[in-house]
Amino acid sequence: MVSLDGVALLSDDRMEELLSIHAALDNLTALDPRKGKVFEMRYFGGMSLEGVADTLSVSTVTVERDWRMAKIWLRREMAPGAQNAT
Amino acid sequence: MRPERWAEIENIVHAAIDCAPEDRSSQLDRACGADTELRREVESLLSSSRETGFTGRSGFVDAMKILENHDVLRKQGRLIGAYRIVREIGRGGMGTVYQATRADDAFKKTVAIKIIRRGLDTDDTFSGFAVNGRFWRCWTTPTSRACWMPAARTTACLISSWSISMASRSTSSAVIASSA
Repeated sequence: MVSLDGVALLSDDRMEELLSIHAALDNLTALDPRKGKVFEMRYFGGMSLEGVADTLSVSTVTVERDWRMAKIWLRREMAPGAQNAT
Repeated sequence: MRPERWAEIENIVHAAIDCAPEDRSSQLDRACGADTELRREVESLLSSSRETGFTGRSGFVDAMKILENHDVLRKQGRLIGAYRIVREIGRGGMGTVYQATRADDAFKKTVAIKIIRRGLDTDDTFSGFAVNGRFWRCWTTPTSRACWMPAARTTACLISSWSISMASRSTSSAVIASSA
């Protein structure tokens, strides 16, 4: 049993990140649907690189590259003052 | 942006990250040539690659933490992130709904938090749990299922919705959705 304090460990920043990511993810998916999917499965689904590769029928290397690029792109998209160039 | 352009940008970014730091500049010179717009875009992305974010725990891990602790929701005043449980709104065969408000008064926000019992988390459950007509996105794999609601389009509703993913080993799934 995890202690009750564990719930409060989810910081405000963390919560905001989880909440604000959806709009940015929509934009990524519009630009590159597979990267959007890879990010969803990894970040929200907690799936392994191999699991995502299996599900999408692509190589693990492809998933690895998509995951890296998706994180970079989303970080920029969610950065304060981002210009949302798509 | 054209897919070919995006693919080109992506390839250059990967190559730049993978090459030795001292070679990066000349590598970018070669790859971008006189295309200053391409160079600007690549460097903009490369600067984001040095920042942190999405690197530690996944959203999934936080979701699991909440789910493992979902019993605490029965107690008023408990916090989930920045939200404080106010009261139980309703209870049914599918699960329990709680009212919660923003705990830090950063802004006024009331949300509904719904805990759905494991075993009842079928597609129908989620598609039936539309709030204000917004869709849940769902997918299922042999080992997990995840559902969430996209954020509203307007900035005023930026912090308006959230759902929590779950895996088959969890005992329940939770959904946080805007009540307004």
